[in-house]
Amino acid sequence: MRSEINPIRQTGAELVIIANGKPHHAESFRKDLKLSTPIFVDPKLGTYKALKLEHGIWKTFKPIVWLHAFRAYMQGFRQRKTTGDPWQQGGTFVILPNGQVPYHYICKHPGDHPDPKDFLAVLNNLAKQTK
Amino acid sequence: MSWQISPELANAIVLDPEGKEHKLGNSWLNHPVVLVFIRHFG
Repeated sequence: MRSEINPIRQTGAELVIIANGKPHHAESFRKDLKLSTPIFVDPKLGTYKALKLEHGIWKTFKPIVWLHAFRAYMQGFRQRKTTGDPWQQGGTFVILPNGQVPYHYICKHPGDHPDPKDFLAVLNNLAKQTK
Repeated sequence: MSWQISPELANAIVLDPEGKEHKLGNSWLNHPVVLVFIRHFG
């Protein structure tokens, strides 16, 4: 996601990250990844629930998850100690100042991520319309 | 198809890395945001 920060900002938008750990976990995460983007935590998961993001042990241990984990390992990613709720899944939303959501992606299991090209296309179209 | 964010989410309080409270809806008041919910830090 770090590599998408500049393309997102070039459209006039900002990347905002939400996680479900504790504030000090966010600080370590930001330092480790050298993130310059806003990052927040929601330990009670109220925002995750409001958006009906997937949650549950069987969402986490699907067979395809092992394939994603293997691919990530081969690409050099290493799983560190998990913080927060390990059964919570993620999601990505483009939100406009008027509250409209022209793009959303609900992750079904670990390793299921949106293609950044999809939300960048939405942002680029919006930027063209406002010029 | 576009849909509208709920007041519940816009008014939700989240914490920054220093533990300070923020109203999440303020994040998109002045510009679009890509709001990414990650599974966990790890």
